[in-house]
Amino acid sequence: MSRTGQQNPSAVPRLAASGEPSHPAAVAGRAPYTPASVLYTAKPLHRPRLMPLNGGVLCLLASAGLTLIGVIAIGTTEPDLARRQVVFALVAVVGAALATIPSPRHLRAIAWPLYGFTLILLVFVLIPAVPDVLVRPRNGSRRWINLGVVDFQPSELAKIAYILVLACWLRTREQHRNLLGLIPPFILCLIPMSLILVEPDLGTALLFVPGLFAVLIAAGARKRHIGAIVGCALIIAPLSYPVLEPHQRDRIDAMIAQIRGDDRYEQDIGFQGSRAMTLVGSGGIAGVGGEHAEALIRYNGLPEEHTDMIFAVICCRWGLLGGLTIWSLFLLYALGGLLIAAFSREPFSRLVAVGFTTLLIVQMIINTGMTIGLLPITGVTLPFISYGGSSLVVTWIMTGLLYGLGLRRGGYLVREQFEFDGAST
Amino acid sequence: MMLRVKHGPPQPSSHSRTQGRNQTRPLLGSMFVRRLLVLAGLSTIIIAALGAQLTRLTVFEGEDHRDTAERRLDRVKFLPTYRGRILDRHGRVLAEDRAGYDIAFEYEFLSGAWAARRATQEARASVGPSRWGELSAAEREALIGAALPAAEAQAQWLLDVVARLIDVDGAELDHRVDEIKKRVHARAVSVWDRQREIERSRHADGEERFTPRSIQEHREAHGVAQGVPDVVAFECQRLADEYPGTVEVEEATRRVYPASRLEVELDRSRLPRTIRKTTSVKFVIDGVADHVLGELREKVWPSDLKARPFLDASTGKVVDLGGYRPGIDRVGARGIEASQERLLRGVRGMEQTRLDTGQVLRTEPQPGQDVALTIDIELQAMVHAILTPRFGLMKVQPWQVPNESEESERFAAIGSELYGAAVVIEVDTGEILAAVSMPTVFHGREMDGPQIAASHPFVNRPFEAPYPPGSILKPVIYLGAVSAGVMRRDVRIECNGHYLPNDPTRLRCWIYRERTGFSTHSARIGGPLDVVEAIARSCNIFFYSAATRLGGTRLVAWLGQFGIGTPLDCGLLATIPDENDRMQTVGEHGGFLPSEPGTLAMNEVAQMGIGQGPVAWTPVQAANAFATIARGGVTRDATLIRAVGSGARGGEAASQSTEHAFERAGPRPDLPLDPAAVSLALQGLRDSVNSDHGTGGRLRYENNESDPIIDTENLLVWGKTGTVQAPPGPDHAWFVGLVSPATEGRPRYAVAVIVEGGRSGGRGAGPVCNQIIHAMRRLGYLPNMNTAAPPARSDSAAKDRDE
Repeated sequence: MSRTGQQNPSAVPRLAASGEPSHPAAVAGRAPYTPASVLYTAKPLHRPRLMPLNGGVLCLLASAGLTLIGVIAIGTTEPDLARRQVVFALVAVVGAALATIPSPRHLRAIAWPLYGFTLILLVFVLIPAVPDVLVRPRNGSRRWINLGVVDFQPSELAKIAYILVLACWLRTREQHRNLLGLIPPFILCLIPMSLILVEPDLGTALLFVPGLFAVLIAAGARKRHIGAIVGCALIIAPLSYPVLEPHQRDRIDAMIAQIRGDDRYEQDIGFQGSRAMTLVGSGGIAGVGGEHAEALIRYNGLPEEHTDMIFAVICCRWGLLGGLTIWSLFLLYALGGLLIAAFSREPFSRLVAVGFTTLLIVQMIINTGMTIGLLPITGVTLPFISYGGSSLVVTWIMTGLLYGLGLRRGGYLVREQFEFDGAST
Repeated sequence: MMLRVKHGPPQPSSHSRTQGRNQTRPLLGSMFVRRLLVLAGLSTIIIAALGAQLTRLTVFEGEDHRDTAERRLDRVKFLPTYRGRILDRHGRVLAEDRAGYDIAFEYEFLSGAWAARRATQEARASVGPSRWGELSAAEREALIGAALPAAEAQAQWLLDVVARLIDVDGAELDHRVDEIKKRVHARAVSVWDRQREIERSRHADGEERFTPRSIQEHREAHGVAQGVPDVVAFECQRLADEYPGTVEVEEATRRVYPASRLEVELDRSRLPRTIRKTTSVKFVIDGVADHVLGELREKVWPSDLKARPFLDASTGKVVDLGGYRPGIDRVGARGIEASQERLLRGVRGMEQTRLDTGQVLRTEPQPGQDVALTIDIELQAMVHAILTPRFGLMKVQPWQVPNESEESERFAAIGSELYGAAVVIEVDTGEILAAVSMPTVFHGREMDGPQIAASHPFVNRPFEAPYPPGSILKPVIYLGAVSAGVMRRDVRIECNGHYLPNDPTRLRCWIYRERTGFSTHSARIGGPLDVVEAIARSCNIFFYSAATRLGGTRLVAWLGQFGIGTPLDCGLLATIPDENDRMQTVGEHGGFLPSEPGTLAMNEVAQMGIGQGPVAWTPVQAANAFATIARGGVTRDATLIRAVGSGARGGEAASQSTEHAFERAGPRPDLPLDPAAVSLALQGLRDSVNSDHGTGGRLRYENNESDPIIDTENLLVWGKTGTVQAPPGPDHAWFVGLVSPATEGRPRYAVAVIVEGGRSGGRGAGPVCNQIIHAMRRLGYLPNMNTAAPPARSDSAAKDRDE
């Protein structure tokens, strides 16, 4: 039985920390409710006060720090690309500023249309009939839409859209407490995920799953359901090995061999992983400094040193301290996101905050994990730091959205959200 | 939207927490926040695990990774070096490295991988790189397949061009290429088998996990032509520059032995009359001094790597530029190449380029040191020719098998080959002028298994084969008895045919036999014999007596002082591992002496007095012993090494380097020989050769004709014959001579000859020694027969000859 905000009728509760006066909606739970009170919950009665000093500030600080470190790290070996990254960063910051403008209500309004639009784009990218001018293939995979100046990746947009839609779906529902109620969120996740898998882009597709689970957990899905699903997945995952593409299997083989200390793949499929680990290790505690790092990276032949393997460059140049700094900044970002989630009153904001934070952190974990040899090599870049315009812009937009959500704490007095305690969890 | 309505009275206490929404509720009461904390905790744990791995990589393994990464910043090139030369006593080159060029093909070219890569490049160029990036794998395959025939045709054209350049026809080149492919494939299969075994032993399912990867031979170039002329190498280099990855011109140094094949002319006018000819005969000798020089092996053994590694096994860094690199280096396998490996081996140079700064650090290579031997290669070749059966002396001849029933029944095999050895030493310095072992290694390579087992061609007989000395030990015995004071030097001893008065069957004199009618030496000369007679006639009784008077202990000690029992260390000693990988010293043999002389029975001691029984020595020890006697007891051990290093060219003497398993306390002390006794012994040796009754005097034929065994015109010759029983085969024949120009009173050279199965010292080995002396006359060491003038060639003159 959920607790309501209902108590002594004479005492009108102060429901919002921002000091909103009570209004008829405040006593909506008193029974019976009138349509009017329902209406009241549907739109704000006044503009809520903004909270400029919210968890999103931490996110912004962390993003700025990471972007700056990223520019310097890229500049270690590719100064031209670093200059371009600065340009991207400026565009991204502008985009983030714009992203703080919409309120949660606006976001909810565009969530489903955006989702649909993204799905159309994903399908569009896959249609073979589309000329190569629009969808430029790279290595046989079709992921990018050519917008003239830049290449735009629909899968990046899909990450944002599906989190928004998920948060919309779970915002006022309770069915996800049942096993069957988990099916719609899964379907919402699986549709874009499978389209992305077909591209093929396994790395990005894999990011969808932890986001889904994190949002479900935050939204109050029962632990035993989640546990059962994760358990089944862990059992099925090794069985999927034969279904993987050869190069994906190669990467898993290479990782296993590397962990065991077996160096037979070092010259071919394990090359990237082994070079990355060597460079990471050679940084020592404090790194070797910019110039020497450039020489080491160049002559050790590290591939993708400004995109996938940028963490290796950081650890080479700044050592263990550099790596720990990166992780600390990401943890700071996560702290900011979780603070937004904790303090926000709007259920939509809470879930979106959790979702975005999870996306970023998981991507960071996968990228740094593969650089230091604990995960197989995937094509996943490091957010904010890796070179890449579309990725940088999208992640800054996410940060802007988070700040916007944190700004508007909300205070709709429907009920306590997601407090299912008292029932068995 | 579902709104919950709580029915029933409100409970203030439980809801007090929901009051005061403007106060921060204890957030932990909120399930949502708890869930957030779970997520936060989970990610923190994961990041902590990543942090642990990062710490491991940077802190614990950081040094190693740094080294690995830094090492890739260094481009190291090794500069080749030359092995030292081996020279003879006059500076003639006997062994040297010669530079040349080999033509090789990269294996990838032969296997077709080069053509495939070429086709890929063509296909990529035909559509343009940007378009190439857009194609899928299948489309790319199709384009490559279309371009492949042209690339393969080009490869074939290259093969034809190279075939023309190196002057072999196409079929022959194809055959060589096939050989290479077969060899590499066989090697790959064996390597993969071994790897599969290792995998299987490491993991239970190792079999499925194993994937064959390319082996080193797949990434190397393989030779198809060695030692091509410069012009060909230049043309092939042009091809290599134009088509990278196909043909390789490799600088290769080969070890050549320029004096290994020599032409020799031998005079036959002084041979025993049955084979004498007025014309001389020419020989082309192959493998001159091959036992002494030795050879190199291409394989580097683990013992070499352990003794002198090039790289540190754990870090992979270069520790010793002179160290051995498997697959690349050659190592001395036997002979001087092996025993002087340390001196002959050069030290590589190294050029280290630091890739980021462009700095170059160069260590110059150092060539190996030259080793000058005491051998005179011309004399060596002539002695070699003398010992070849074709010349006539190393064959069973009728005069060796006198017309006696017992012998001719058992061992007659006229014309069959005999093997043996000869050593020539210069008395004053102990330098070995020639040391020939027959059959040579060259001949051994032409033999099949049973022949090898029967004739042991790879044994270096002068240094490695011990034989019982037989009668040639007698002067040593006499001098020992005199030095020990158990016999007066002018003693006279009766020869009554057998040593034991009451036992005519044992310890007999050689003359006491049925065909001589049981004659005795005393009967022949009418009285007891002094040492001069005893040595000249080689009477056994005298020496049984001398030996038994000495006794086993003193006798063995005396022989040890003469150098029996330990190798002389002439310069051939080397340590190599045996089949159980234990290091052993080979190259020279020390002969045998009984280990417990005190336990010898009387008749064994007596037998040792005539050089039979538990005693054996090598031909070089025999010559060395006689040279010692000629020097009056001064020890100057025989040696093959004249000089080392820059001194090699100048001819200064150098000391030996002895780093071998056996250690001598120091140079052996001089022997306390009584000069008068020595003079008497030498007198006996002179009579042996120069008188009719001496065993080394005349060679008697069936028809009662005879020739002198040694032609002594213008010379002074001392000599001793020896016949050694070697059951079940025929007796071995020894002859050791000392010779000098007639104008000098002291012996200048010692010559030792052994003919295995020669049946009688005087008849089997004597003529060989005579021919060797003639060869020395011819080369100027001794005066010729018709001139009385002393030889123009002395030792110092020989040194000046090739300066």
